[in-house]
Amino acid sequence: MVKAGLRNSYLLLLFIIFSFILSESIIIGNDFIADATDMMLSGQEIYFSDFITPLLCMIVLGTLSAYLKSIFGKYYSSMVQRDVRISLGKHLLKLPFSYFDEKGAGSIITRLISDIEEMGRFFSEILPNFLINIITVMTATIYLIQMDTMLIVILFASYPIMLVVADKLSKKLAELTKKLRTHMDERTEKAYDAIQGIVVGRSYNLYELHKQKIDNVIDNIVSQACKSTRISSLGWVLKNVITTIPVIFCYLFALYEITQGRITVGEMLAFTVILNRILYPIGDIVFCANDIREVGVSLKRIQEIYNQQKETTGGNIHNIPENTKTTSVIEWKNIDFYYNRSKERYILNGMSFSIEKGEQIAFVGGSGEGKTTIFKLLCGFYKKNNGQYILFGHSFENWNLEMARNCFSVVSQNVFLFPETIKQNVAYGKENATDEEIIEACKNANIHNFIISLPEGYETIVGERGVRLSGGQRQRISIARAFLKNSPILLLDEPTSSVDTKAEKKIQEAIERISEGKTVIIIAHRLSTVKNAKRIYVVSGGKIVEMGNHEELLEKHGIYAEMYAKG
Amino acid sequence: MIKTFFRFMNIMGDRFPIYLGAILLSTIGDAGRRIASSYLIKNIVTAAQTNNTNNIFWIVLGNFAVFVLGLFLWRFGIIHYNIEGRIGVGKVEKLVFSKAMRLPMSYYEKNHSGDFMSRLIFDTQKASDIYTSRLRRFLSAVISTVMYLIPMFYFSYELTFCLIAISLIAFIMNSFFANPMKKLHKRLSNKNSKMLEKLTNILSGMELIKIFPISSKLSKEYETAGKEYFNIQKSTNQLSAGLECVNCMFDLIGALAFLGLGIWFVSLGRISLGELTGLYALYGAFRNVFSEIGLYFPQIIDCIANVEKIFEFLDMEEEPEQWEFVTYNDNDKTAVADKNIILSIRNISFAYSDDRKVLENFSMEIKKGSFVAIVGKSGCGKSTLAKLLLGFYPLAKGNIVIDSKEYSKLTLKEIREQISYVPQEPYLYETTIAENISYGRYKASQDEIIAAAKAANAHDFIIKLPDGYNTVLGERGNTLSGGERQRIAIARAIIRNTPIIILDEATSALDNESESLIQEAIKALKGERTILMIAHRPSSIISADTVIRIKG
Repeated sequence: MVKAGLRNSYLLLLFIIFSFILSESIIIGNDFIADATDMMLSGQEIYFSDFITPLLCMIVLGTLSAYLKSIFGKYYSSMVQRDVRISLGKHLLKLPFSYFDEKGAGSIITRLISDIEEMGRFFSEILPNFLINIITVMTATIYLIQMDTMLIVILFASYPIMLVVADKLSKKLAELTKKLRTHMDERTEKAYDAIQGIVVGRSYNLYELHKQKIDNVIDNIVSQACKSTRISSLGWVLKNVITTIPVIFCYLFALYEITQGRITVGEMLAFTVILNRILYPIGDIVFCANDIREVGVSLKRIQEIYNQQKETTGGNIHNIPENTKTTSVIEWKNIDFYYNRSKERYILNGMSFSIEKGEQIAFVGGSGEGKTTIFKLLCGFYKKNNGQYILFGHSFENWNLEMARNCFSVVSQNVFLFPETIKQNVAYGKENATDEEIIEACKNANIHNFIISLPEGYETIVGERGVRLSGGQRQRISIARAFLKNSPILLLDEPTSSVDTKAEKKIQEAIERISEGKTVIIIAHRLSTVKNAKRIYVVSGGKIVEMGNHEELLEKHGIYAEMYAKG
Repeated sequence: MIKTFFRFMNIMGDRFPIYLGAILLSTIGDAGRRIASSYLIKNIVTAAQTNNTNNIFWIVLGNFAVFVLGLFLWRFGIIHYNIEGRIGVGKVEKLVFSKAMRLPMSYYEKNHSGDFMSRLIFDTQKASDIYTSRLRRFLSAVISTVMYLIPMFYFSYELTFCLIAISLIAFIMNSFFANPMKKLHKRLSNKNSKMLEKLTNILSGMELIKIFPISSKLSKEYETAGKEYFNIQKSTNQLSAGLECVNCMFDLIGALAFLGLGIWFVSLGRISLGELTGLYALYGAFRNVFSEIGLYFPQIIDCIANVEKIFEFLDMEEEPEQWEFVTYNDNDKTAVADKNIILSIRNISFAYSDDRKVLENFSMEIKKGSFVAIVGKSGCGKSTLAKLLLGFYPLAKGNIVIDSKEYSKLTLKEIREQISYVPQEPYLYETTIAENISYGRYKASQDEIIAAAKAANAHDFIIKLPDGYNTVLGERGNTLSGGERQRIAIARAIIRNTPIIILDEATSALDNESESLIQEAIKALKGERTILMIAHRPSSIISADTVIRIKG
């Protein structure tokens, strides 16, 4: 963010220069008028035509620089906004998956949107205003000092008091703003939640309940805002009192100086004019701190995202080593793992297993036993806390993360489809996939016939989260995606759930087809789907408690046999 | 547009007069204070010119008194204005959010929820700016303008006419900018939605991004959307810089050319130097408020563009209280003779669109207390059937009779009171587990919640969580496994105690163990309640009394 601000700083510099010219042209113009006044008062006859020409020159110069100032300032703001947006997007893409998994995408989205808006406001309003005010006050001060130093002393005498008051008030305001913002976030989250869960909300007649909840949060926002207005308006009153009293003294002092003959009436006129122009900026500079503090909350949060460590690229192993002696694809030794959000609750606790090339392996176990977590660790979404993870003979830490992930294709429980065409969604499996490849993959996943039965075929757009397709259809599209990726290891998280019997058979065929020469790891909740697996690992308490093929496990009369009997 | 504006103000209702009054008070306070200070300047300059400082003390004191009074008036007004404005914003937000929850189901399936967020946040914020800043700025500019003109005319009507002429020309030039500005802002807001959608894609698809080679594509798309937004912003910048330039020119003319002219007038003896200074001091304030009229008017128009968007949204058709039944035969209408039939579906037809017919002349009857499994190919309309039973969509043809009551005579609320639905992907709200379950029956006691959780075989894992029933769930319940989420959703359905429960593949994400326990729970409910299970695998239909197969 700071970088983007600096990169475009030449525009800001131009903005400052032209603001200065604008401010100067007004002061010089005033000087002409002051001289004319004194000439007149001294009894000389003055002609309008004498001083109108320089005044017009100043007007033209001022107008021109006003335009340039404005255009450079605005460009600066837009460019910084654009740069921050884009770099933020890129940064988000590089953050580890765990960041999103733990924070929840929805709250990140809403926060980002309002924070980016605030960031835009900072660069488009607050910063330029602050600079213009400073420039105006500075140029005027220099002019007035030449006239009478005492005037400036009186004018700024109250400044220290104002600084203290402004500081106190703005701190209080910032506090209130923070509270307000939390309430606003809460409101957005509640609304988002209610809309995302509309199917439940509607079928359970929860409308009144949700409305009540959202309304309550909104009422909180209103009462919070009422508190802020009392304080901010008090600040404004104090600001006026503090600025006005010195001004009155200034006038009285100027009057005294005139009676003493130290300044002329013309000068006093100029002084009045200039004072009128800088009164507002003077007060505003101090209270700009308010705005900056307010926006600071948002800027800080954006910066927080920047400060989030990017996912490391990992080591430098880029390819699956050829001609290795070992046929081991994956080996885990005593892996421990817990999620940061629930510290000390170990999901995996000394888990060990190994998978050979070309094997079909299944993990079974109760829900919440960490089966899905195994996949997350395999793909490097989370880092294990202890133990050793070896992928194709190399410690996972030595792998380039992107390349390691290249080894895996995932068909997961919750299939996300982008709100785009079916074709695009499948094509995500492989960069620059041709239409033929896409169709081939869909045929393999037994979804082709369904797709061409749609009126728009492959160009059909899927709704958010694929609502307009049934669960089975969505899953098959994601299987097609995995086909296209053609990676050596296939991770199937409940691959056949929510698919009817007939399609399940077809998927089994497809899996057999793709399994040739590949390693397949299945997380299954249904024992019927894993009977054919070469080896079954039974997970319980974060450990492998039993292993073997279906028959072997049945003979053990352990957990598996019990589960099988129940199922 | 004027209509839109007044309709928007109407949302404030009875409080609108208080709101207006507060604006008026604060404006009078502020303008009065400035007029007083211009008189002070006039008197001081006159004193300087004539070297007569006799009454200066009393003049200063009097002015100061007016000044303080003005400030207090302002503060009183502004506080009440802000409060009323905020209340108004709250009203708009309530309208918008509650509307967002009342749209027909088809809307949610067709629209990206990023669109929603954009509408709800961006447009509401912009629109409600009218309440919290734009309208007051504009009105108070108009009122102050009038207030300043009175003493200005008193000082010198000739010079004041000149000033008004300059200001009027400026005003007219400003109005030329209003329309193109409004158009640009509409485009800007559209591009903003698009940018948001792309950002949402990145954030929601993160898991896929990590596994598939799509990050560069998504990044590029977001970048393109950002650049498009920037390009529109560029045009907006040029236009508004032009506007600022015009205003600055008139400001300079008003300041420099006017003073030049004024001095000439003084030398001609048509106005005193004190009056000229007083007039000038007042003109500073006048110029500000007058140019504000030109500045804030287009801004209000801008905001009205957002208000229009909001009204467009608010005027969208909602899900009605009751669907209109277009065609149904008389024999579809007749009441069920057999009291044991809880659900009777009669010749219903439904199509999402003309070329996507899902059900045609579909009929079935379900006995009270039975356990019915519905099977069929994916896409054959099993899930659609559930949605039709819940009244998410109107029937194209036919009728449904539930517990001897016809759908055509029931409100959707009444229909839904009969059925508890566990969808394919059960949604859990971002609140505690206990509250999620209690959504089935609000105000259920803790004991009832636990009983329901036990019945759904969720109790054991819930009490193992550190916070137990008070565990707050993350977004989409993603802190739990699929099976755990599903069991909570089932508990929610059980606690609701409706005659009919529809489970749409509710057990798909469950492991064998919990599935078998849930099957038991369902069996226990059987007899008391009617269970409709949309199933895909043989294992889940073993215990069903009846299996209905739908052919696509």
